[in-house]
Amino acid sequence: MRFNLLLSLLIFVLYKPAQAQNLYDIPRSKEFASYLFHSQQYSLAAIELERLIYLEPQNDSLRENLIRSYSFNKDFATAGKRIDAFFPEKKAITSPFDDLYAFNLLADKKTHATRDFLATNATLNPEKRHYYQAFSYLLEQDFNNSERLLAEIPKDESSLSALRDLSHEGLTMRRKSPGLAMAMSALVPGSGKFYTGDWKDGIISLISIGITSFQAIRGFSINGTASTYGWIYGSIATGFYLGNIYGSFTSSKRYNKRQADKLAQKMDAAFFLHP
Amino acid sequence: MGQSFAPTELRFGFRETHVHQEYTFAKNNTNEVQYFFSGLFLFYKFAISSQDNNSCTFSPSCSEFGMLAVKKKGPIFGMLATLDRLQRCNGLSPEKYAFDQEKHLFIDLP
Repeated sequence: MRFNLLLSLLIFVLYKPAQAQNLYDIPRSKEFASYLFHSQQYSLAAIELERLIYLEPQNDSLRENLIRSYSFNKDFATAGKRIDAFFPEKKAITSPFDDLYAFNLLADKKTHATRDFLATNATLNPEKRHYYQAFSYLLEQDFNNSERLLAEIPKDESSLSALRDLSHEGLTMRRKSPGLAMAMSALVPGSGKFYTGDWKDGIISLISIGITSFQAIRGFSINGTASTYGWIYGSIATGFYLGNIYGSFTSSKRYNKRQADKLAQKMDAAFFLHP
Repeated sequence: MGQSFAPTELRFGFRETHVHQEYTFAKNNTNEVQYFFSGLFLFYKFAISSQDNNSCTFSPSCSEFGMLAVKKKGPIFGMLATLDRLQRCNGLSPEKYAFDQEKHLFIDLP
């Protein structure tokens, strides 16, 4: 009886300090979320911030950190969806969420949605607006529109200088014409691949088509059209010839894709370096 | 008592390189053209290719590429792509293809 009484007393005395150790109250949770965010543990920070936003739904500071956590974690789609949930009406998006929304849409390669949003939004500053608009065209590799837009913008906007370089590079980028490559290979087998830079494949094609054609002509010249030898080598030569024309077409397409991919890598680097 | 061999060893000292494979892509055919080319492919694989070592520089091999190309692009463009692939299968341009570390072959899909 005495033991139970002592235990009850002890629990009563320790109740207040034990309550003070609540790690899940809002101030401590904010401290913990801040620690996770600043120690760059963005996926964990996002979970903690989601819990805090449940407790304080209208806290813009928490919302901003949540969106930044998703962005830093490269989960741009979720960042965009969360802003959609915070601001169901796009016109009501305020700073800094307008900037974050445009950034996350572009990072998620939603170029049309970015331009639609920029057309309705009035809070974003003009330089950022121009930056995102021009970048949306660059991502689509629509260099004519990006050049047109950049030409209309005053040159003193320093953040756009990288975009001007990229846009100019895109316009002047060397491309290979698939039609010309096919025509060249039709005239001289393998020459279409020399044109697209695959010169080693071009030499192999020239040799293989040359040898099989020579064997076909040799067979036909000895036995005429009754030459089985001639027909077999003639079929192989024709197949290689047609295959080489098709290969020149795909080779030029691959060349153009490699060039476009190189530019896309530069664009990604420029976009994520942008403050 | 006959001499015993490990499962991967064949008589005459040759190492078995052709492990039995299931060519599932040659079985899921949807039309007569695909059945025809799948038949050609399987005949080549089991009657001709199995008698020799694998010498293709690419993964998938040229015959597998041909089968996949016909299924993906149709008989005409699939055959043209295969004839082009046969001319590219020379190993002279390693810088243009990704490398499969597991198979030690260059990757070239149709």
